[in-house]
Amino acid sequence: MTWEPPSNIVLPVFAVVILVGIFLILKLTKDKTSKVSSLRLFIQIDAAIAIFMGLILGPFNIPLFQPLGSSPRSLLVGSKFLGNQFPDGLSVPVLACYYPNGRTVTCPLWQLQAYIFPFWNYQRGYDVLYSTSGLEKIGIVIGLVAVASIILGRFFCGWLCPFGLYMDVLTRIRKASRLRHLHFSAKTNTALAQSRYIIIAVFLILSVIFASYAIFGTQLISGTRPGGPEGTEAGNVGNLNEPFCLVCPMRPLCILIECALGEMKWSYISKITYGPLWISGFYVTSINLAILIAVTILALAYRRFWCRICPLGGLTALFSTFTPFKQIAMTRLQKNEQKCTKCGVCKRVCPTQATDVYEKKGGDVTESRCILCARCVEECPYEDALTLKVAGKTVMNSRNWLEQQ
Amino acid sequence: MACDFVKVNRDKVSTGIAIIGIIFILSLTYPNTQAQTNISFTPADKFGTPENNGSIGFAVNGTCSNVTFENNTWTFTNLCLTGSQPLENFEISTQNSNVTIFSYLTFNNTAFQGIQLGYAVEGKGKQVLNLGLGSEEEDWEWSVAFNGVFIGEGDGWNILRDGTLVVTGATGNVSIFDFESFGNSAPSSNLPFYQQHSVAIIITVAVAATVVVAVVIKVNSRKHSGESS
Repeated sequence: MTWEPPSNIVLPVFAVVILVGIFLILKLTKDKTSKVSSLRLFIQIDAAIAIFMGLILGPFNIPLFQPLGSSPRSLLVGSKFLGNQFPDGLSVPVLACYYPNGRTVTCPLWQLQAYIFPFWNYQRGYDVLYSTSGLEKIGIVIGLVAVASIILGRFFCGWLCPFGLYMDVLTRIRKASRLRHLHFSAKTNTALAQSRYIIIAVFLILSVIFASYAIFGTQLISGTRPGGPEGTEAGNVGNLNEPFCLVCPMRPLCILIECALGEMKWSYISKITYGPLWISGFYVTSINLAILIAVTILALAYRRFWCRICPLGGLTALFSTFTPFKQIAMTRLQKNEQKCTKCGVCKRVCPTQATDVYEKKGGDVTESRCILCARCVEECPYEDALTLKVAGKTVMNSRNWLEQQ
Repeated sequence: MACDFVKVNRDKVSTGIAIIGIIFILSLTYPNTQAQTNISFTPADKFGTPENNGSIGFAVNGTCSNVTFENNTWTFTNLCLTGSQPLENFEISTQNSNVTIFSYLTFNNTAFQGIQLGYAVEGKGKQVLNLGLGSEEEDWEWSVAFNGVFIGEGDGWNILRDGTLVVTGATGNVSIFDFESFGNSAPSSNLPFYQQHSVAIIITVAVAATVVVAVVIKVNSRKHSGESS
């Protein structure tokens, strides 16, 4: 028995809206210092809708949405096109949290953690059936992230990540409140950037430790044996299997939005609960919420705070700004030394306080902290001093907006 | 004159081909007819549970090969609703509420199979349903939504060991989802190696291709910048 979806008008209409919107923004925005920012905001919103389309448009089983066609949730790239070899969703280097309903792609961090746990070598996952080993799936995730990073680098962070949109909205709220942002010192900012790799390493090691019973036959930490602590359902150590998701701020943000949209009740969040409060709950834990609150406050004070420590951003940067990938990465920020007057605008407008664009003499100034938001290119007042290139072709260059105004 | 003749004939031929094409396409999309079953019903038909002050109806026309009423429970065999997939064995009883079933869908791909049942409820009562999926509840993942809002188990519904679902206090639209895995053997285990690992192979090729393209672009860029300087 197969299910034939009715005609779907949602995706084509969405694609047309995006194209028309991009065209209108490029044509109608007069202020050259905000054209790119406006375009970026529009694309960020579209990306967030595309990533969580099934969530935003509601469950398609109710009559109101049925005429629109099948829910994109059921077209989850992964189970639909990649079968049971890789059914959890295509890995895209953005925080497309696995947990809320209605996502179309999946966060690679969740996948890396989930596939480390050999439990997933067993055939039963979360409503999916796997026919490939954890190691193979990890290879697929890393391959997808590598391809994406080599082609677009941290463009995903600057233009497509939904949590980046959240922080940019917080920045706009702060600006509307006429409050100035704060700066980290160069030393602190560098330390934050380096901490990303420590965070990745720690949580991947924790994944292995929590999976120790399945891997080694003995639990390195009490209570991580399949079957969980006394009195819990068998197999629910999956909650501890993804330790980074216990602390990631994106998960509670998505779940809160889902509850706010009325598509999930709070009772569903605690569907599987066990252990102490900090790990209780299947979708949200108290530590998740605390970190979301902390990141929100810090993002109001420091622009794009989470991007400075985001382990996924670090992973993306690994495949785009460090040797040997740096030599072949296609999306680069270039500086023309002759046209730069060291005015410092680029350094001031950079939301992640990336400084290579100012300090390096010329050539490729892309660095691991740069999220390729192109604010520096947009605000640089000297023609062609900064250019954003993809595959060797210039897609954006700085304009002398001072004279044109 | 000759041109007009050819033009007219060409138009007729084109029209004929278009008509044949439309008929062909329609014949492919027209739902397969089911074998005639014994009992037909319409939305006007009600299956009452008078002792429990309830009734069951359907929002669309349907058929089934057999229907029985025992212990205040209606059992439908090979239930087929218009626009839905057949349901082999469906048991339902309702108490202090009137139920109108509007859809039954199945999902089936290489990763999992699942069902979705939708019905509307009038009156705050209780519905007991069994979709005939068996009692292998270890492989089940049930979700229930009231008016599009997912509800936690125990907070208006619960599932019994034999796969019977009990829904209490719902009003409006109720949607029941159940996903179950296939048996213990991987469905693709009999395929050749390259099909079993096709995704990994494709991704490996994609990575290699990306690296090659990137190197070529880099070399070309260096060549052009070397020539221009």
